[in-house]
This record gives sequence, structure tokens and C-alpha cells, in this order.
Amino acid sequence: MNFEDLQNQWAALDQKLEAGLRLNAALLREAKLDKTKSALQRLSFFIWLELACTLPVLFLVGSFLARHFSQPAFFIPGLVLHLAAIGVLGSCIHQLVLLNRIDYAGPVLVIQKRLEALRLHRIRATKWTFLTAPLLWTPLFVVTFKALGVNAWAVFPMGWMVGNLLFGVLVMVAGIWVSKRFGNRISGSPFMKQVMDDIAGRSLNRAAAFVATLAEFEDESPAR
Amino acid sequence: MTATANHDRFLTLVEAHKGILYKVANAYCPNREDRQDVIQEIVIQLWRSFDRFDGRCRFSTWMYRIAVNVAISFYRSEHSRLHDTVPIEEFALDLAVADRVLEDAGDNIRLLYQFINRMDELSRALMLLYLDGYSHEEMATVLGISATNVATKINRLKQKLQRDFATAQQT
Repeated sequence: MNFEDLQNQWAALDQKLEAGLRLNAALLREAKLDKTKSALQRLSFFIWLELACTLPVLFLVGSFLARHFSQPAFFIPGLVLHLAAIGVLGSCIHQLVLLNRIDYAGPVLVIQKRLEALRLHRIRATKWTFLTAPLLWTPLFVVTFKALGVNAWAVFPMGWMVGNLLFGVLVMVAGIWVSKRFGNRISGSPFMKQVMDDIAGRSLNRAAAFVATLAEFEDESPAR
Repeated sequence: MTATANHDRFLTLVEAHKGILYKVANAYCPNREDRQDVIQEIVIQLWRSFDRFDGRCRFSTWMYRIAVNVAISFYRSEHSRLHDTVPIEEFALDLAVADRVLEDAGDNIRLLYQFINRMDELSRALMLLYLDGYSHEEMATVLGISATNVATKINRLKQKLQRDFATAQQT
């Protein structure tokens, strides 16, 4: 294969493409490009939404903690919820910072590294949200009941409360097993497939592989 | 510059280099519907970044950067469809014409696209830029690596393509 010939054939194709392709300028005008939603904009919207939902939770649980500072039976479950909300808040802020640093006009390697950092963070956030959510059920139960004026520790037997905690652990383990065992078959919803891949660690593996590809591409060592 | 004049200037420049949209989309998305989506996202990102285009590099070089970044990002997000963004069946480019041009192209070009589709995401970009005749320095600017590194990688890719073409001709 002569590469000069190949480049000439490519250039000929390019000319035909340029001549054949019709850019519909009128359509582009109608599309009102300023108002179109891009993938990054949509992602940013959902992060802001998450942030907006987390802030009131943080405030409410914070007030609960202040009111029950001297009652460990309520303070500890409240603290667990508060720490979880702080974690979500921190994750949202971190994602927004990463998102803000992405400018598609930048060098490909730099931008892809930033996008991959964002993807890695999002995958870890999804994974930890799904893994810890079942464990937060009991503290949420205790705090919500107390906020409504009911002492869950007095109303429900201790065995039932411990059972709930253990059920949370069981749901977590089952979730991981289902995502690893059946994740690939769940293709009906792209969102569910993505969540399953995130929990099972497949997304993380793919992201790590791409980071390795980027590093390899940057490597200046001579031909292997 | 007024908003309309800016819009017109943008459309003129994109019109002059519209082939890049198709070539990049084709290198990253074998599926036609995905190509439509990726072209739509590229055009949106081009328009969003257009105010920051300072003319220090050629428009086509700048366009390649954005197109490749968007296409890789799209490819990496496992082809999530963008139908909810702009409800337009054929976004700006009539791909049927371009597909016919490609179908009528010689065996070498069709094979070349097959080989490009098998390359990793960054090598695909490098190959497209090489075939379009960009200098090593320009390719280095687009990708964010050194010109020496570009030269090394191009040589490797050419050797690999030589082997792939040879194998294809034998079979």
C-alpha cells in the first residue's frame, strides 16, 4: 500500500464529500443553537438538581442534630444521615468543578482526561449511593419518626430495628450480586444498564482502561 | 459584530469545512443514527465555543479539536441517544448523500475506514488528521502531545495499516 496514493484517494473522497454534502443553514438557524441542550449541559442540570435537593436535607438534619445533641439514640442516626448528605453535596460540587473545566476546544488528550475524571467520579458516586442507600434506611426511619414526634426505639422492638439494619446489608449484597450476574441482560433501559454496570464495576474497569490508553498515547517511548 | 453576523460567519466557516463533521462522525460511529446525533452535538459545541475562536490556528484545526473531543466523548458514553435535544430528523447535514459517496468510493477507502474503526479513539483522530494532510505540529496542537510523539505514532500506524492491507489483499 502506497500512502501517497491513499492520501490522494482520501483527498478525492474529501472533494466529493464537500460537493455532495448539503449543509442546511436554514435548519441550523431554526434550531436556535443558543437554546439547544448539549450532553454536558444536561449533566450539569441534573447535578444542580441533586444539589438543590440535598441542601434542604442538610439543613433539616442539621437542625435535628442540634435539637438532639444529648440523645445518642437519635443523634447518631441523624449524624449518619448528615454525613451522607455532606458526601452527596461534596460529590455534586466536585462534579460541577470538573464540568466547569471542560472546554471542548481544548487539546484532545487534556479534555479526554478531564472527561474521564468526571466519568470516574460519577461512576464511584453512583456505586456508593446504591451501596450505602440500604444502610441509611434505618437511620432515616428513626430520624423521620422522631421528627414526627414518635420514638421509634420505644415503639418498635429492638429485634425489628436490628433486623432492618441486617436487611439493608442483605439488599446491598443482593444488589451487587444481581448487577454482576444479570447486569449484561438488562438492556431495556440504557439508564438501568448504566447503573448496573456502575455497581458491578464494569464501568469503572472500562474507564480505567481508557485512562491507560490515554497514558499510553502520551508515552513518548520509541516504537515497540 | 452583531449576533446575526456572527451566526452567518459561523455558518460560512462550518459550510466550508463540513466534510470534517462527516469524516469524524463516520470514524467514531458506524451506525448512521449515531452519526446524526454526534454531528448534532458537534455543531452545538462548535457554536458554543465559537466566541472563543481567536483565529490563532486554522478554523479547520480548531473544528477538528472540538469534533474529535465530542465524538470520543459520545463514543465513550456508549452511544447514548440525543433524541431529546433537538427534534430534527436530519440535523443540518444530508447524510444519505455522504453515505452514497462513501459507498461509491474505491475498495481501498472502504477498507481504510474499516481499519480506522478498529483503532483506539486517539489513533483514529491521528489517522484522520494525517490523511487530511495536517502537519505534525498541527496534529500535536489538536491532540495535546509533542510533534515528535506524533511522528512516532504516525509511523507505527502506517506500519500497522501496511500489514492490515497486506492481510486483506491475501484473503
